[in-house]
Amino acid sequence: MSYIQALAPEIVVAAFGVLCLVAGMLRTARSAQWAKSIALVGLLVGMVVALGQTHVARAGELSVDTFSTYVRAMLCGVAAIVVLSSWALPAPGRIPEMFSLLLFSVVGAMLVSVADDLVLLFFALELASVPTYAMVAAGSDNQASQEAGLKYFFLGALSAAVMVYGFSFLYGAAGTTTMLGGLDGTSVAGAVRARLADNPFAWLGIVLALLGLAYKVAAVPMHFYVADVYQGAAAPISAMLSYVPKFAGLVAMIKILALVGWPLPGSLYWLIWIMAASTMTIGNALALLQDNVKRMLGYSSIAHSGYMLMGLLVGPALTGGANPLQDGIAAILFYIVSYGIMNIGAFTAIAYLTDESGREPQLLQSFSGLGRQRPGVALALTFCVFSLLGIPPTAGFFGKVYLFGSTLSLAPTSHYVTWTYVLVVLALLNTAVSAGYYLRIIGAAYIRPSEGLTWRKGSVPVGAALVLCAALVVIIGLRPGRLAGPAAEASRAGVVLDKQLVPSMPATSTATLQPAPAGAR
Amino acid sequence: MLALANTAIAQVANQPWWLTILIFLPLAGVLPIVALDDRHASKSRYIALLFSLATLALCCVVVGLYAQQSWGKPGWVFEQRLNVLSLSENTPTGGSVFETGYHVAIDGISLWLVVLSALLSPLAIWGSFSGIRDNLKGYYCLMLMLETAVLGVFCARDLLLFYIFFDLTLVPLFLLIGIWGGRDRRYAAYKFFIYTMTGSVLLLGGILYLAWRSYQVQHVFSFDFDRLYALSATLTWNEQRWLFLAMFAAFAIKVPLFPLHTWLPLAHTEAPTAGSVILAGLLLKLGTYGFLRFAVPLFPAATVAFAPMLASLAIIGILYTGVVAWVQNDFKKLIAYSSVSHLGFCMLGLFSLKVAGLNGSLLYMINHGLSTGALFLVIGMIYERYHTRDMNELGGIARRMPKLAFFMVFFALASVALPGLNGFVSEFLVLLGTFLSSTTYDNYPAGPLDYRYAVVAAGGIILGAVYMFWWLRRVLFGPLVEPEHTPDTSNGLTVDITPRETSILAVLAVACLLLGVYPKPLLTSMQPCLEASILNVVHNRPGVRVTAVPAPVLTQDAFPGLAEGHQDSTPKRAEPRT
Repeated sequence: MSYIQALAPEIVVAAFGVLCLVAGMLRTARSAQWAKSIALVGLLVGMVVALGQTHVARAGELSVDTFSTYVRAMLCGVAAIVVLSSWALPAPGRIPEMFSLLLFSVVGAMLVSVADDLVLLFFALELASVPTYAMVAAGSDNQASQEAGLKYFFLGALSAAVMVYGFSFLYGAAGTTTMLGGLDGTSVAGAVRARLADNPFAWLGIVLALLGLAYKVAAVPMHFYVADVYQGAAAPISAMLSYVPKFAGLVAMIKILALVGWPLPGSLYWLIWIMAASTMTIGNALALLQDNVKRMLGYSSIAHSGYMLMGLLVGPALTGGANPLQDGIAAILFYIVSYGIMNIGAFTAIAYLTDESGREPQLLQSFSGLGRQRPGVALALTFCVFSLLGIPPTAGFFGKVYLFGSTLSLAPTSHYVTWTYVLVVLALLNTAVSAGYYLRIIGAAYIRPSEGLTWRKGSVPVGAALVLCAALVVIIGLRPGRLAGPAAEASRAGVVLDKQLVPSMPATSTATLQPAPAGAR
Repeated sequence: MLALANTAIAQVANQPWWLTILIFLPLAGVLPIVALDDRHASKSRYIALLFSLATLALCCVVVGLYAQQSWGKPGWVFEQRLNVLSLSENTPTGGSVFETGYHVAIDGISLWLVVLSALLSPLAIWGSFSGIRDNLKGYYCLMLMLETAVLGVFCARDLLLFYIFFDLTLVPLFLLIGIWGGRDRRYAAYKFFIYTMTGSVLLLGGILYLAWRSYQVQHVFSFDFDRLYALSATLTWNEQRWLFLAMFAAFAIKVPLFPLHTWLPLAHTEAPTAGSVILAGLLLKLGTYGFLRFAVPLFPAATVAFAPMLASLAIIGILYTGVVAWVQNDFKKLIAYSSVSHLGFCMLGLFSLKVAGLNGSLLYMINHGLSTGALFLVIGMIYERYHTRDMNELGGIARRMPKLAFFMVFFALASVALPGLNGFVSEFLVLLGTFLSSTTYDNYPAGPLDYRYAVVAAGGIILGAVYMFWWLRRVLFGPLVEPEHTPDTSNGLTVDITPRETSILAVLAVACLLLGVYPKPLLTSMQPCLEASILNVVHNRPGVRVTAVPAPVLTQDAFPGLAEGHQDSTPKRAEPRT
């Protein structure tokens, strides 16, 4: 398989990204319109091309399999909704560039899913992140955006440095940058598995890499930027931040943890456990205190990352059929897509409801009377918010069923039975706590007395994005298997790659750090 | 000719779609209401009433067919599975390990709760014709959604489906309280939602754990009742205990059991009349039904072990809330507290684990729904006219409203269990079951309670009479006291109740009277089911575990593991803890 074939989806999307730039250079009156349409078509074509790659193959440092197919297709598909919801983006004169940046960021995230090389992984992650810095700053003309962009950039650069520092340790421990690679043991994974016990640098490399990636997925302790950036950026850009970089970060985290393999050794189990527990708790607790809906959704984004980290604890199902009730990776893959759709829906509602001067409604009270005056918008927002809360039958509910269920199924075979149960109960209680703030959004729209607010008639594509999100949330909720099946298949491909390494693993050194007996998982 | 008609009837009767249509018929009413032009919003009342009456009619047909097929026999009828909500579709390498999805059926236990739901909903909708004056379309849509969710809960045979409907009841009621409620409605709505949600997420955890256990034992992730009943025999004591507590969290909050009841009086006082009727009449029953249907048969050892504790909480609730009800000035709150007290009896009978106690408990659910639902309607009618529920501001209104006074006294008597009215039968059975719980009078081993529980709980009856008659005396009799500018006779109201209101109350009064003098049809149809699916399970009678009446399974290939799963699950139950 040639590189061209392997990278076809990325090449297509990147080409459309360049076309957007060209449309911008034409500087005609219609160039903005053209750029939007080009971006939309590009993402849809990218999705089709990605879905067309059905065979499993390797080309150098790339590995194309059902895992990458799922990730790429879902990235393109959901990012197409983001394009629709950014249709009325208040960035005069910069529209074509904004959309080309969006496409490049998606290309980076797609590359993450095929990367099997530390250098390429780092490159892909940066390609996914760097455009977003500019998008945050340039998404609208107010000062908050500039501040948010700057903050996002500096902290992002810091996290990238931490991450690449970790990568350098991994390279030092392995002498190669190939991550899972072939069967000959010259991969990072082989080295890490052999040396994790006696080589502190391999361990340090994994931890630093996870720490850097925590920034991308907005997990504790790298979560500080989230509320400010989500508040400052234009709503569709915030929606995009909660999907594309987060998805890329999660995929990279899966790949980094796959270097060690599941079940995770005790120290990593505790690291992820503590990250998951604190991320969901801190996110929900701080969201309770917010009156600004965008900040609230920002903190809720942290909380959802916490739920998804639970799936990392579980890892793929090593035996039995791949299914998302046992398979934490499949559960994550299902959850991030559902979360992306419902969260984009909520942000799209904000983008749709600008007031007469074009400002987004940010405070809870600026939604008062919405249910009465704009029942359709309020209903779509309600679906998305209830899905975020996890009320059945919505996508968010089944996402939680899969994630919590897979963590429960980890417990009996894990070395830390009780603590795994504790984490599940904590996540369940966090869900109940999150009702405290999600209901305030619903309450603001329906229960608060009307304050005579009016909203501008929103643009049609943005409204279409909102309707699409609400509809998808319910459709996935009624037929969750339609998305969970491919997610499970995708995770299974990751397991195949992982399994190839098992024979070359030296049994002696891993045994010391892997307390769980080689049982059912 | 007759034979032909009979086969035609048999064919219709065997249709698996009856329950599905019954459940979703109210929801179908949402569409025409939404399509209604805003200028004709008041027509949404009639559409909602029409759809809920159609549901009631369909429900009568279902009862008739049930009587024909399975009257007095244990077992499930009208079973249907559909391939929606399944957790994974069949894929080349996975997906076949799931057994979940849409699966409904009814037996003698669910049947009467379904009937109660189908009866109370149209009455509640009809009762809101004058009380709800703004945003009519939204209101009636939510009422219909609520009816669908409640019917779904009582018909669900898949635990995940049950959970879905259970949670879905929250959303419409949250909005009903929040939008059309009283002064403190926001706080009440949030408190109601978060309380219930906290319990129900723990229930979700328990359900997921059961599914995982069923995968370990039977290699199928199953949420299906039959399989989980079979599974429960393999649970260890420790698992039973924790899972019982997880379900306890959800159902005890819903019942509500002391000391988790604090959300209820608030929600009741702030809810609009119909919301209170549905809340007291139907939604509280989700808790007792949950205990009856799941917690008890799935975790029998834990049930027996926890029963004294639960019964004690129930008794504390009966007495404590009885006293609290007595000191209320707001008489809607008084009835709300009396609800908690009554549901305590329900729980007591349930955990006596005797034939009489269980029969009484289930009958109590129906009777409480009728009489308390009616009392909330009466209170709503008073409130619409006087805009107050404070007993200090109202008095002697029997002179003004003799018809209303008649119904108020009637339902209060039903509520305090006057012999001849419905409350008496169930309360008597509950106390009898509790009193004889430690005996073996019904040929079942001794239950976990004994006569002392019944003696203490009987004090609640006296308290009930005290606060009810206190209320009647202050509001109905004595010198006439009413706030200025009242009674309000706008919006088609008259001083005494209108013919519409009279008919609503008359329907309920007839039902109360009928169940008071002739409860036999209910008892004969529910008792075999209660014995088969609860007593035999709890007392470990071999070979009597109920499985479904074979019914057309529409999506057989979606559940390939079903056939072999039943064979290896011999109905043996682990001995209760020694």
